[in-house]
Amino acid sequence: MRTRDYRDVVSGVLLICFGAFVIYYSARYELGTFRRMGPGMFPTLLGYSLCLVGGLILVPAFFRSATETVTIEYRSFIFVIGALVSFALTVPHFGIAPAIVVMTIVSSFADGRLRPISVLMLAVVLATIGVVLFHNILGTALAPFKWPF
Amino acid sequence: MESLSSAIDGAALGLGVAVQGTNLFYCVLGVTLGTLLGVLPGIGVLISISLLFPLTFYLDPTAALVMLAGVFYGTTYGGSTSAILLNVPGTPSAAVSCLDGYPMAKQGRAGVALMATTVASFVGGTIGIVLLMAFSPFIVENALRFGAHEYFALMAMGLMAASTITQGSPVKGIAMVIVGILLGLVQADFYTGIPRFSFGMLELYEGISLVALAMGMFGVSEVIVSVRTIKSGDDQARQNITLRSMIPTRDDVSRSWLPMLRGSGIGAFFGTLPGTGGLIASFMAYALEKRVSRDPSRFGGGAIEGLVGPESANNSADQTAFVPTLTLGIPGTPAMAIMLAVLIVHGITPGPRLIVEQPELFWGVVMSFWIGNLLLLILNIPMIGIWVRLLTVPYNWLYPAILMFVCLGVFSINNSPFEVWTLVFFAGLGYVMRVLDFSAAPLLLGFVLGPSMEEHFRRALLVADGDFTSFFQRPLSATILGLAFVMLAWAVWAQLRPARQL
Repeated sequence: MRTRDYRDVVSGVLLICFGAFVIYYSARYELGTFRRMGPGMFPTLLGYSLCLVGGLILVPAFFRSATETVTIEYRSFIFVIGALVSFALTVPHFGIAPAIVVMTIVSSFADGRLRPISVLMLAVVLATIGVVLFHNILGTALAPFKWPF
Repeated sequence: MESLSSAIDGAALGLGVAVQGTNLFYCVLGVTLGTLLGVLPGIGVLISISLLFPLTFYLDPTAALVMLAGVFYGTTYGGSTSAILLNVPGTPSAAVSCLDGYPMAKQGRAGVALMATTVASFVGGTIGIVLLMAFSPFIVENALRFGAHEYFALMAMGLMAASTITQGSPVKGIAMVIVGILLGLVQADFYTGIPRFSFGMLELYEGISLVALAMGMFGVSEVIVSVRTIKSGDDQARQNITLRSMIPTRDDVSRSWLPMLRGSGIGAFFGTLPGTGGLIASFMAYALEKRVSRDPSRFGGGAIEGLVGPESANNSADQTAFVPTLTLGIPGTPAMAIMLAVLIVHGITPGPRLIVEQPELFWGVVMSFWIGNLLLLILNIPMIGIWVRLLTVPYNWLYPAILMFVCLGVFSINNSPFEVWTLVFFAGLGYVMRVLDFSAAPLLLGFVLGPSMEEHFRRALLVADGDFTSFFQRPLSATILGLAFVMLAWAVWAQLRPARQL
């Protein structure tokens, strides 16, 4: 018992916190009786179950050592999520084509092995495919370009 | 025998629906896209289905289901291609096909291996459809008598099975089911109309978008992991696959046909169980073939039995997975949960009444499986060269394209960035869950089943005057809930058992 299983300790704590939050938040909805349940009853019951399950995960983890090491892919996590965020930020103001270009450039840093010129080519190709497919073929109401100014 | 004759009537009705122009077109589109997306590693069945989900809003429900189902079983056909040629499963259920498929490719027998998996997939699929057609009317006849108690019990059992049988810690699976149900409750309460857990956001009054949730949890978090792990090795993909090289020897044929039948049987059984599906079925089939083989040492070194058994099993499971989904409205796997959501979006309540009230839909979809499987046979044998060529596309060119489709798909739901932010949230959550070793499948099942589970729970207690023992006074609901409690007890025991746990 040198290192505790911190992965399960964290999991258990998070689940209990979430369960407690659900119980707290459901308090604003009427509980009702078991015969006529209000909107708060089912979520409250689930919140308590979640705390219980969280405890079941948390407590044994203290008496056990970790068996695997956890690897976290920080680089790809940051840039893949960053790519989605950049899309969400640009698309309402500039339209889908510029948003795809920005997204592709940000996402390419997750891997970092493509040369900048290849990234730009890929970005333009993907933007074209996106516009043709969603605007011209599927006919959705997505605007290819927008000018906020 | 009454159900048999209704199956034959239904088949005739369904065939007429399935060969209609639009349905035929979406069937072709579905299986082609499914094969394409299945071949590419890192794009599983869930990403494929969720990508096309927004498109189904514009289709009528039969065409929508025909297409998504085609994508679903098409990916299973395609998934084995990259397993054989690259030793990377294109879909998780093709993982077992690497064990003997890749050694066959290294021996220069890639053509035979591809031929064998396609035929095995077809045999498995066919047997699965026959069983689906035979059993569905029978189940429906009995299910029409179910009340709210039975439905609640079935859902509880299904979710319990889905969370405890799949890989990883069973208690963590149960935790994910509960989180999923809670996420499903984010919408207006159906009795009082009070919006719940909306945090003042108008967009949440109608609930969390299933597409954004599924794409974030499965698609984006898969990309995050794959960027560094999938190496684009195209060694065996350079092999020239000619039709001539696909002809199996007489020995191959005589070794294959029994494993195909056994595999189909195993797959059909596991497909109907909640939470298991093609992945577990294919592992079981592999284990069985190894056990009954006269020379088990050949396994792992290119034994054709070890390839065709699992391949027929996962395709057979794909077809029978529709039995609980379409007859009871209870999906066993996340992919089935999305199929169910298609029906709900179109205002159709899934359940035993579906087959009675909408026979064209039910039988049309089922008969389209025949057409789809035949098409896949054509797509996968003469056109295999095209799919093989695709495998030479390196992943660092591919993943920005996946992200582009995910973003546009999610954005197009409402033409608003809100869904994209939902996607960001669930992508982050999905990755944290992966790191903490939680699996996302039970969460998605809980999310889809949550609202109707609450509805049945409240209705059951309303009928029974608030009496909890009523769940155990009805024989059927008592039996089913008893099963669920056994699984729960096992999960708790597995968690508390002091021995070395993963």
